[in-house]
Amino acid sequence: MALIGVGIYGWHLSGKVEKRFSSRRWSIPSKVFSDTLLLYPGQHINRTLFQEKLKRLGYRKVSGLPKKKGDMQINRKGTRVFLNDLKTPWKKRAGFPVNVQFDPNTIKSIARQDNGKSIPLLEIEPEEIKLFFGRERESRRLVSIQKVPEHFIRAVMAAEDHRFFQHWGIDPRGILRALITNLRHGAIRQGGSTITQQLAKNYFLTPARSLLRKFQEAVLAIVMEFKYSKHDILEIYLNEIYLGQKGSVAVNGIGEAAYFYFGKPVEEVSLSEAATIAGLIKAPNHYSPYKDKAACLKRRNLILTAMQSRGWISEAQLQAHSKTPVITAGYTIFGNQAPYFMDYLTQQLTSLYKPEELASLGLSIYTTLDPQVQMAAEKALKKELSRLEVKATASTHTSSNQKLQGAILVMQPKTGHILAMVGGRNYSKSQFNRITQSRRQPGSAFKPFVYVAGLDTITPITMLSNTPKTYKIGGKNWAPKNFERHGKKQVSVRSALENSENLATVDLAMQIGLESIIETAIRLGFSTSFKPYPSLSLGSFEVIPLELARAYCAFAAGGMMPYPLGLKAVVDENGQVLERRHLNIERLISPAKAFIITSLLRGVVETGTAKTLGNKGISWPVAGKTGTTNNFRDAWFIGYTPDILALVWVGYDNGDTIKATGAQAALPIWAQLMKAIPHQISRKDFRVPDGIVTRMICSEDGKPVVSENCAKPRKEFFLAENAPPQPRPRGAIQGVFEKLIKGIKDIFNGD
Amino acid sequence: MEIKLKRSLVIVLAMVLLSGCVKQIAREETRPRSPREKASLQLMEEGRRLLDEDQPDQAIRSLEQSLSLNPDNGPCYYFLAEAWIQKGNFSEARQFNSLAENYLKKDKSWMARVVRQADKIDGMEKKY
Repeated sequence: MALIGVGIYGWHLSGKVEKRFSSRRWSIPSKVFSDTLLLYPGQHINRTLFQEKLKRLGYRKVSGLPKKKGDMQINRKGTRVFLNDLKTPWKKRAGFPVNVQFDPNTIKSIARQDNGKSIPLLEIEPEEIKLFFGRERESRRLVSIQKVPEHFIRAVMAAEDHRFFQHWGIDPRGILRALITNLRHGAIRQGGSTITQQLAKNYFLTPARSLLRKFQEAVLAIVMEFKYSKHDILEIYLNEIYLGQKGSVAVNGIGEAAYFYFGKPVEEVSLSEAATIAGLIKAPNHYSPYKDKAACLKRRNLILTAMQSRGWISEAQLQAHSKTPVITAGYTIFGNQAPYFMDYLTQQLTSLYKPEELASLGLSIYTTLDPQVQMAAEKALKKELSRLEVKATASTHTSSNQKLQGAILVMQPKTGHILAMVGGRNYSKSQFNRITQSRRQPGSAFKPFVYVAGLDTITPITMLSNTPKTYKIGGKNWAPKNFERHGKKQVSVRSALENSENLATVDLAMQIGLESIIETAIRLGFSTSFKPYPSLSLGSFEVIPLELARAYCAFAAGGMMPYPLGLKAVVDENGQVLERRHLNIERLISPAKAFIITSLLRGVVETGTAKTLGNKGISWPVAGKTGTTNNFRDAWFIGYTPDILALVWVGYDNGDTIKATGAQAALPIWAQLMKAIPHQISRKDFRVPDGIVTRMICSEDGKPVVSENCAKPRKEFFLAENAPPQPRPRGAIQGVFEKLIKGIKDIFNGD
Repeated sequence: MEIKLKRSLVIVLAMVLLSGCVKQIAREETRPRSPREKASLQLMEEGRRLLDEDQPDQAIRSLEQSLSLNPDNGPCYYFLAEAWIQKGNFSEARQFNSLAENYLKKDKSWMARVVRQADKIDGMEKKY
């Protein structure tokens, strides 16, 4: 009867086992990766950031030449790295040793360490920046039993169940042996559970200890052995087993353990490393090499000895591997890298996948993030905000008891790739993303959109009225003022934008028509509900900083505006690409008009409100615009080169005054950030497109040069269709030229 | 005789001046490429090879990487248009063909290819 009862119970459990094993066996958290890093000879580089990146990627410093994947040697002249494998949806490359030489902040050469062959372009693998954990907070890398080395399987068997391939789920000999050992010592020294029983316990049962639980475990183990092969059971076991803790996250399975402890895939784990991991199964946190190397070593050598006693390794192997020190890869706890960017990305991902899918499907999500730029942005913001606060505290104009806030967005203007996003000063205190969620007045940072709207009728030398006027807004009078009073009644378009003249800008806006400006702004992607008020031209309507940055991209990218791109691809755990995102750009203004605005904004940086940029170590062509709102509530600087654009905002969330301009508060952050990321900057000048002509202008009167009486001629750019006519040479120059032509004609006419 | 000498001198002077202009044009066309431009070309070549191997998705990745290093790389836009043609997405192909035209206007041989590509896109769009 008892046997029949057991049989029925076994049959009942077999349904449970089959259901569990045929469904998705584990929740594998999805991983988010940064973009890869491209390196080439001649590239400017921040060596500190580069070496920090290698450390984050798990590369370990060695004193000699790197001999295996994951090793690196850093010296004064360069870095030698044994690269890990590169695996992205677009490229797969096996790791190899490489020598990168610097000179001193430029890459001098890149060559293979093994054969000296020079490498014109090297791609470094992406960084893992986030995992989407479920409630269990388990991290796991699945491995197929085919890929697990024989010595690893034997090490696990030696540690836990050396008769695994002989028994049928439970091992009476093992139970007897454990009973004798425990009786002899008067304590529990040995467990008699087989690998199958352990799997039954972990997979199906609660951790409770009782005779009934033991009975259930035994029946389950027999059922599992009946239904599945030894290799299937072993594969599940090796992927299930708990092997340590990384902060608050559990390390499960030998695949994850191999990376966590030794920074390598399971296939590359050596005999001593396999024995180390196998030894952890009994008590992962007690025997962890990160906690107690001596205990770890002792346990490992016990496993090796057991393997040798079973004839699975030779005496020579035992001797050699017992003496090997335990060298771990080191790890960083899963932190919160680029948290605002991650929130922005998560919003996009959750429109494609449910949160529980992200936490369990083991997707790989590839992004455009450049961690070096991200870290440089966070560092610059933190440092400068602290400096501004110290300055504010020291001055008599302290006006707020709030924490000063800031935000930075860095993009490639021509591709739309988001390289970095810092939505606030401290994510743990405020998750509000000031790049994507806030609406702030842009102030003077809006002015370029007024000027681009007027380029069909104005040129950089058109004169604008700079005299005070009063306008009506909603029945009330509004009388704008200039920030600096200089008394000039008229200023050129160039001078007005370079020096951010309010009166001239409003004058221009009224000439062009406010509806025309609104139409331009909407076309450039602003979602703000603008009203045709004159104050619109001075940036009185709140905008989303992401939209402001994107609109500036149109100037930087020759009239093309990109779609901001953070997500590049989503790949499932089998390597199948599920989603791809590509660059998406549309032409919104002509390349010539974009160039005129860029030329004016270069003037802002060279001689205008942002001229202090030159004193901050920025020596390459930059166009940009400062922005300061009424009562100094917002400070902006948006600056760009042909390759990169960064928007910086500083202010208080509650709108208190910061008592600093865009040039004083935001511009220094921009400068610090750009100097820290030389690998992203080409230092190229802006390309002059078709449709642009140049004329020599006299700096003194702003008019086209017509004689040599102008002491300070300078080149000015114009749209071909509204450029002033080329002035005819007058007087002596004209006379000489006419005589020369007449003389040549006479020679050929035989006079 | 004197007139003939004067005419010959004028012609020689004109030839010397003209050769200087040609050299200037040649210098502009063979301006040394910066390391970043070279790296961009390397990626563009990789993209072109992948297109030859009928791998448009991988090609697009290499070509987009090429543009991230040098957004003024005109031929890159041409090859991106080719990649989108291979993927059967003609509106994307047209967009990149238009960008290629913008950057390659001054290069006769590339413009001929751009025009042929535009015709190909039109033809394939009608067909499909």
